[in-house]
Amino acid sequence: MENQDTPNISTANNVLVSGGLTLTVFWILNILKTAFPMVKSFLTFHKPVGPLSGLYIISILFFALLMFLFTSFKIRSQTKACWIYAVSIILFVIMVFPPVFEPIAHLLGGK
Amino acid sequence: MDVFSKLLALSFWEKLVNLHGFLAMFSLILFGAGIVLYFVAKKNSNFIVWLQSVLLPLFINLVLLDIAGLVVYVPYRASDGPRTTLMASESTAWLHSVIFEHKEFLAFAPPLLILVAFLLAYFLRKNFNNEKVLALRRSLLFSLISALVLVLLVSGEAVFVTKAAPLK
Repeated sequence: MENQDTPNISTANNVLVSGGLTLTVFWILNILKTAFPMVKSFLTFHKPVGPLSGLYIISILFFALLMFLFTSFKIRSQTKACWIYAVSIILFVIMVFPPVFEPIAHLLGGK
Repeated sequence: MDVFSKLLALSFWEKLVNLHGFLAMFSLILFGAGIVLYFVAKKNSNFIVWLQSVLLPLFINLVLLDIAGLVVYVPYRASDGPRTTLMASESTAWLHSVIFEHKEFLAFAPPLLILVAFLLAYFLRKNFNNEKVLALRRSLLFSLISALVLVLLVSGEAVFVTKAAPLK
């Protein structure tokens, strides 16, 4: 199952890793946004929507960037790619829950 | 005909909120079709095109659902909007600071998970029911089920908040 060279399989692995990393970037940015007012104001692309606008846009751009970057190299292990993806989804669900991320953000922001 | 005139008399935001809810409900039909077609395509890879034909509209549906949600977020955050109403009382403030915030962040994931599922189906087309891609195939199913659970969770949280402070 490991080390398959079929181009479509490595591309599928790339998609999984890109998706997982995008979710990770989203919750990290969310913590930074809560911790630092400067990040919050940077992410406010559209004032009526607030920093959520930047959070969504940057994460989408990050996914597109990863998809582009991954065209130049192959992720061969589908098992590893699948685990990265599954763990990222579970971690995302936990880390965007306010009672979980707010104490971390306050700790980082020194509040 | 009275019902139609009453529907037309609803404010723009009320209509948009209803459309937002409709898109969430409609996605459930596509989720159901996607999960059934996953198992059909597993038996016969000719049906992978059908699976792709469901995953693409589902992705579009979820993107529209998020866009409608972000548009509705504008009057929600306005100075005289539901957020202000909720935050004004200590007994309801948590509905915004925990439930609504969680809903807005979680909502990012379903379109991405379905895009990943669609791309997996697209890249695996010929090999979909090949045992060599078992982990990738399972990831597709995991994407579908995770996205469905998140949509249900987000919808439940939305109803929870809307009952306390509806958007008018």
